[in-house]
Amino acid sequence: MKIPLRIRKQFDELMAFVTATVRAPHIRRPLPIEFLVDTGSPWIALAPRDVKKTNISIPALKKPTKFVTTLFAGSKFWRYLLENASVYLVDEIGNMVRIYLPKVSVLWPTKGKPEEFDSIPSVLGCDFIALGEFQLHFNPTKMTAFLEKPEKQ
Amino acid sequence: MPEEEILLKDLKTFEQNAEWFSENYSEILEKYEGKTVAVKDQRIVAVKATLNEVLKEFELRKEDIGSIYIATIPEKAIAFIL
Repeated sequence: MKIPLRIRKQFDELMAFVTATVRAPHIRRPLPIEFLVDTGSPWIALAPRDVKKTNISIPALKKPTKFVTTLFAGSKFWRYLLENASVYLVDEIGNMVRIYLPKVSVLWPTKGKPEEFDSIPSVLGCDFIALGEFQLHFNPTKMTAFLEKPEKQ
Repeated sequence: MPEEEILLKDLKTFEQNAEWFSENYSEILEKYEGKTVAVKDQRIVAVKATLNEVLKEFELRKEDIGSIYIATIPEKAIAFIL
């Protein structure tokens, strides 16, 4: 099973993005979100712009016991957790795929106006790739990118 | 409509809008640097100074943003490394 990724030239270089919807108890209306596929991030994390879009109430979220703050795009963010989350994506034949994640990180700036961070995307990090048992394929030369989950024998 | 059907429909329509945005990114960057834009039916339907203003606009229109692609265009001189 393959999840196609979208390649976009940004900052003069090709980057891979994917659309996914996160469903969790603290999200009343789950909405599609564009994630940058980022193996430099340990976690799947929602950036402030998508926190606002999905109307997540930050005070209602739990803080993690480890890594309470994180450096992201050169700024410091509080890290919160959306627990018992499901991430929905669409595979290459148009079927919806659901990946259960015990937690999804939510980032909120420790200082400054949240508007300053609206151009920063949410990221699909290593925990998602590992828990979903995906392999990442990204070939900018051939303009191909996808997440692949080998069929179990 | 069952919730999972709504999720799938939104994902597919959002994807079409995101694809259009990606294909036209260089022109959008030239025209809307620093602004927040909303893409619906593969065309720009709202341009505001901030994301909050775009969200407010759709709230006033009582329009669901499930399938609408919204992006804040970074300034041309700034790149981000995550």
